[in-house]
Amino acid sequence: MKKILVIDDSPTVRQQVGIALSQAGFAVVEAVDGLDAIGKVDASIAMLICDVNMPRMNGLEMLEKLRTDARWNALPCVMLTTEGQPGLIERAKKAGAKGWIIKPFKAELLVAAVQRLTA
Amino acid sequence: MSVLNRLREVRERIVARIRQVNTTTETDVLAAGRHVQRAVEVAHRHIARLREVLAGPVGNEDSDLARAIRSQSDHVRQHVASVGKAVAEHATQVAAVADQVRTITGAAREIDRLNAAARVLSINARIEASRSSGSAVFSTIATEMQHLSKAIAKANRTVYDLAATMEKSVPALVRHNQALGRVVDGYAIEARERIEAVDLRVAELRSAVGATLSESDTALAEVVTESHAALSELQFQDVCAQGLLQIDTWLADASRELADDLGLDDEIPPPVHATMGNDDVDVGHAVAGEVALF
Repeated sequence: MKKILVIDDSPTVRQQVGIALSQAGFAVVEAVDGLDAIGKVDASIAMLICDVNMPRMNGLEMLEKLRTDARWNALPCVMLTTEGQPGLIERAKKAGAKGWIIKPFKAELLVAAVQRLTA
Repeated sequence: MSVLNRLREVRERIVARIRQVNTTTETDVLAAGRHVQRAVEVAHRHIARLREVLAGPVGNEDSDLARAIRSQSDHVRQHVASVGKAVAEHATQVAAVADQVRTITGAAREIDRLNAAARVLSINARIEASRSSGSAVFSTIATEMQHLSKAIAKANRTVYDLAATMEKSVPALVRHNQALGRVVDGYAIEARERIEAVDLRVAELRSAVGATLSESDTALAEVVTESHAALSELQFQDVCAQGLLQIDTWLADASRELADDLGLDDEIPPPVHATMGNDDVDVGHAVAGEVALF
């Protein structure tokens, strides 16, 4: 069972993403912000779904920090956020994000994206 | 109290109230999410059980019930075939008995013929005895031959009677065998029809089970789709929570601008929920939900 790390400071979003992914056969690990996520990334994680605006360490900072470690260079990450500014999207692309989803997400589309990126 | 301090107090009250509202809605939405999850789990569990119950006995060729029915049908077929074979063997044996009776009758006729010859010999011996003035030898031969002939005739009558009785019994045996054959044939036809009927019912049942399981899968897919829709609808909470907290960002900006206008050096507390984009959160975002993969 592929394991997805869901990073969001909102417990409702973590729960909703978790339910949608678990129904699709994924295991879900949760982190409440970027700093928490960095402590939870390991070789068993198949993909990250990450909010942008979070306390302590935001999603883009977390992704940029992760990419400095060769082990996580290719780890797929999709940003899930209320933000939609092109500058932020561009920064995420440069950091190696594989996608950008604007909240509120559609569960079936999110699941389809995760299935595609973890295939 | 300065204007900025009053503004700070107002911000604190607003943030406290927003957090209270957000906590309440968050609690309710989390509870709704758990209900959605449980509903899907119940549907999954129920359909898994349904699949186990229905698919197990008749759902496929290797199921227990299908194997039992097939075994029973094979047993009946084999039994009918072996009974039919036994009846055919019986008919062969009856025909053999009829042949043997005919052989016995033929043999009895031959014995009659030999006995007639014995009688002639007895008469000849008696003639020879009278010619040779009552020869004791010829007289004895004539007497013994006569006794022998009578004994043979008596024994042969028994053989004739037995053969006659058997000849009468053979047709009854043949009729009985034919009747038995008809019963066996009738039973074989009936058994075949019943086996075909059972096979048909099993096929219908299997088809119905397949359709039911397919419908169940469709129902489960609908439940999952509906749960996804429910999860999508429940996300208003996070967007609204962020939208409400953004009020504090505006107040922080306004406080900073006011401090600048008044030439004050007061420290303005940062917004409680800083956003990277610093744009208004659009709670009815037109492109919400869209997935852009790079």
